[in-house]
Amino acid sequence: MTQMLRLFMFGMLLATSALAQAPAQEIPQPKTLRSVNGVLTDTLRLQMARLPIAGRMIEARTYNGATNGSTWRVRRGETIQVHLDNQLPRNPDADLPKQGNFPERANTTNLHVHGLNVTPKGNGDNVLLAIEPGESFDFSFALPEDHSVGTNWYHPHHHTSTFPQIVNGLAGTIVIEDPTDPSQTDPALTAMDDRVFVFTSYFIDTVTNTIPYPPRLTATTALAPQPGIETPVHVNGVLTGKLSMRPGEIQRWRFVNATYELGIRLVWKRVTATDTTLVKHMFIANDGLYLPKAVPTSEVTFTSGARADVLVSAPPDDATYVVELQTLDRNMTVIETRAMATINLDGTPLEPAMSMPVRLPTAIQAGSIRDEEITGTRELVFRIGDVSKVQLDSSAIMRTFTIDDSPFNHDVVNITVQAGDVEEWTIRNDSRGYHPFHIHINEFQVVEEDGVRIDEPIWHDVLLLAPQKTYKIRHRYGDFDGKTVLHCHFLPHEDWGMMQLIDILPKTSSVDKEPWNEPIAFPNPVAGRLQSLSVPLPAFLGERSLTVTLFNALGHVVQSVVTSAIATPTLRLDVSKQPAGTYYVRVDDGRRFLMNEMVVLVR
Amino acid sequence: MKWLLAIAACISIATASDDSPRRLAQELPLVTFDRKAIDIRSLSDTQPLIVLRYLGASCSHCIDQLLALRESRERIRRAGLHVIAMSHDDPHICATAMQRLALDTTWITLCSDNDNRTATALGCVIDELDKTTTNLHMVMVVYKRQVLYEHYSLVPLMVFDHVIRVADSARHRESLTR
Repeated sequence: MTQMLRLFMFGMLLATSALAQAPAQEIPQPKTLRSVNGVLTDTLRLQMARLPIAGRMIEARTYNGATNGSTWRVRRGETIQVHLDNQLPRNPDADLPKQGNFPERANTTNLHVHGLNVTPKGNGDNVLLAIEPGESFDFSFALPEDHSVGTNWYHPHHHTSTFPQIVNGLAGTIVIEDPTDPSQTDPALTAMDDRVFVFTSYFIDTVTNTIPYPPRLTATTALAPQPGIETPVHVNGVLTGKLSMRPGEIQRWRFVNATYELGIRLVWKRVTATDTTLVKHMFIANDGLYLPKAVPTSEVTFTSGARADVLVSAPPDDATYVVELQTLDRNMTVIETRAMATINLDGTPLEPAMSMPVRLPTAIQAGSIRDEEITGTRELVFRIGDVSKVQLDSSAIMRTFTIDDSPFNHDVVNITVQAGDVEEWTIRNDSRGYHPFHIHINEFQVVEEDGVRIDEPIWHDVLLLAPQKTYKIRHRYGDFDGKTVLHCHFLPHEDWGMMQLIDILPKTSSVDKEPWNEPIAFPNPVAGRLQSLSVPLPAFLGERSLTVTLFNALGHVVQSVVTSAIATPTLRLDVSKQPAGTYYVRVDDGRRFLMNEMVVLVR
Repeated sequence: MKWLLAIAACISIATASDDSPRRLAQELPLVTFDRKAIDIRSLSDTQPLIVLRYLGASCSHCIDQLLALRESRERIRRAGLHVIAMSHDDPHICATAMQRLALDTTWITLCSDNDNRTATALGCVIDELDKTTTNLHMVMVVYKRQVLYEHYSLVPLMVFDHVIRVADSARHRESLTR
């Protein structure tokens, strides 16, 4: 794939060098939509249309026939209502059996609002929906009053068609705007104009001028499921252009990496006839979440799915100022470097010149996650199995990209948490490649990398896991319950199954009080010809008094023990005298901590 | 009961302290997909058996399990093992499943236990105190009427390396002591 890209880029560079002689056009901005009376409405017609891509007119899957979706600008507490109308042609593989974790049904879709903390249920950020060609669906995303402000984005997320659809450029930006109240936002920040930049790459067939449909799984296609030639990265649908600023102006540039797996690095340079120097601007937000303070930098790098916000000052002199775009492959190797834009001084100087904000808004209202908030821990391992097996059995590809050794299964919940939980996860990348870890509807803080504590952790919703490294993250599950996912944001990996299903239980449910009244559902952890149960009590509960109770199927107490995690790190319950049947073990500190487990005794 | 998974990793189970193999004390009759009567216990006299209890051809997870096991068919054949996979499906459904899943009798036989008699005897069907019934998946290794390995769960076991190793080593041990 990379080799083809390089070959194609060679041709493209020849073409763009010719274009470079022509006067540069302003890099266009996607159409902007704003909320009215607290509601933003948009219709996304998913339709085939011809787009100018890499110097050709290519027939692609589009939102409303445009290069990218509109930019939605809303404020927290408002609602985004989207009518998604899937007008794509019928899937050519509609009558063929589903293959599993492999790109297919490329015209089936849904909608993910990446970075938004909204309900994952019903018509919310529900990526388990499948909207078939000819169907339409009304989404509604109600933003909480305390939602973070910043740069987010939307894109299709139907498992097995995410990768094939994203390489058509199906993506748009969501800006949750800063409050105008000066006590919350430095007026210097709200005074700035801002621009969005959506980075996309395409896979095109240069004979048919289309974006080809993914083939069925074979040994040949298993590892290259998207045919076509990969184009260089486009920004807002163009390869290069100019960006105009008034002298003395500072603009906020919001970058969205909507590529399928490429990394984007932007470098700001000042070029004169005699030398080239780096120019620093202010990096202020990562994944749409403000940093504790602005960081001066001459470059930003962000992986697939991630965002970066930078405050860019207009050039102070007549030298040439360039934004250089470096494209990185999934091994984080630079595969293309080119001038994305020249910064052009235009218009009357601002008097006085604009100033940088003294302080940035708070990313998350509740602040950093403290040790004492943690209610549970968990470990995840990202792993790539033996890819060579694919040559013998092509279906092996669907079991090769795993999290905790499990490939994605739509019907199996991998992780269950409860709304209000605060968890610390240890995430290990056990493979030789990178994986951007992304979790829906909940941002997280990275607090440790390879055993080294991070003193001032920042917020993410995408974290690039380096090979063989281990990270600790913390996140709060807010008020929303329902099923959502975490996955690798290299989208071919996701479609190959590197994804897990999370079930967030409601804060209040019968589960709290009467586990035996819950229907037995698939799957369940423990069954066997058991004589005793060992129940490890979480060490973080310390000396808190814990009640460990064994109930039978009728909810009758069979055994009850009061202890603490310090006194009894592992509690052993004797079940040898209990007849066959279903039992429940509940560990409860009476206030914040509750865990339930079902055990089926076989006799 | 999905909430249970939240702490699945936190609970470990200590099994019976008695490690000596359990013996099958009674006949365990089944009807094969081609309507022959067999008995697991007596079949185990001649070769190590991997006995699988699944929830029928209508359970997609169980079909995935059979397909996962199919990937090890050469190993099973080479080791001289045989898989008896039973469910409450009628024999004609078992026959259809054999065909559709491309299973063959050189390594596996799908069997009908349509009255759940054998599954109940093995502890896979539990009548609960609240009048409901719990159905469990099971994988067991039996040789010469001794249970060398057993695994019960509501989730089908998907990894068979250990199971095949146990079955294979039983025969291997015997050949060494012969």
